[in-house]
Amino acid sequence: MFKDGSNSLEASEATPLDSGSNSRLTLQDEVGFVGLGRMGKAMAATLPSPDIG
Amino acid sequence: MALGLQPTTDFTSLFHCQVVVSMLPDDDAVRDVVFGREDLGSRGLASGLKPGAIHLSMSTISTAAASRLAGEHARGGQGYVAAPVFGNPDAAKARELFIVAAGARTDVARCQPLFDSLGQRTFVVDSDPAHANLVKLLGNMMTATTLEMLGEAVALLRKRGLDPKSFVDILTGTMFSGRVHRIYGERIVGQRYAAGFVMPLALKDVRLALAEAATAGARCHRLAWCEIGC
Repeated sequence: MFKDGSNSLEASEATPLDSGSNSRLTLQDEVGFVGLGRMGKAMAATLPSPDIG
Repeated sequence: MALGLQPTTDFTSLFHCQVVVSMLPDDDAVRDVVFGREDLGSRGLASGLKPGAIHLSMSTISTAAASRLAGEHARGGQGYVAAPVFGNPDAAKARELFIVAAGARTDVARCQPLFDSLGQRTFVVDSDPAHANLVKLLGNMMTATTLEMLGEAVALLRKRGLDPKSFVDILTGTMFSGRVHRIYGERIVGQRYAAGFVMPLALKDVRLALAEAATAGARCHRLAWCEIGC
């Protein structure tokens, strides 16, 4: 499915987000992440941040 | 991880998310994630996400791909925000990326807390996602041509028996004080070529920029030389 077999797929779901479609994300909403490679891994590590909300 | 990141290889577990962020190496990978792979029996985000959800696409991809992906998500009532980044994995870990975003205003605004978490500054281009990808590709085009010129200048100085470090110090201290000249000038002088950005991905971006130039009818001769150099 992915071009670079040497990189592991990072697919993750993080914290819940609020349902209001016009509102900013909050800690009650959920954020998913799909990543590959060094950038994918680096960003996955920073996604579930207490700053969201 | 404190907030509960759950690694998975099952896309369907992401379908209930309000926002799915993607950071993938090229057009094909993002297309597979959005459209799915029939041959593998996998559904894509466009068919799985709920109406109102947003795909926050942070990969460096072509403008044509961005437009196709945005269109597919729009058919499902989903938002598509393009937000490619300037910065390497170390910058990502330090939350120091520069983010270039484009998409529907309300969708971009919803994603702002994620931008704030991932980067140090976000530039919102306009409502067309493809335009963020164009800005990113042109930025990478300028980086590629700068590296080419820096390499040639340093090689010339070495051939003449001069110290390239002094040259880079003078140039970065006067007319060329930007990040690319400073960071890569130092590396080229020190002959430190450890990959922060691997060559196949750099070449991919050069070729994408050349394709954008061809589509626009713009001449980018220096970039074409970069492709040959790669």
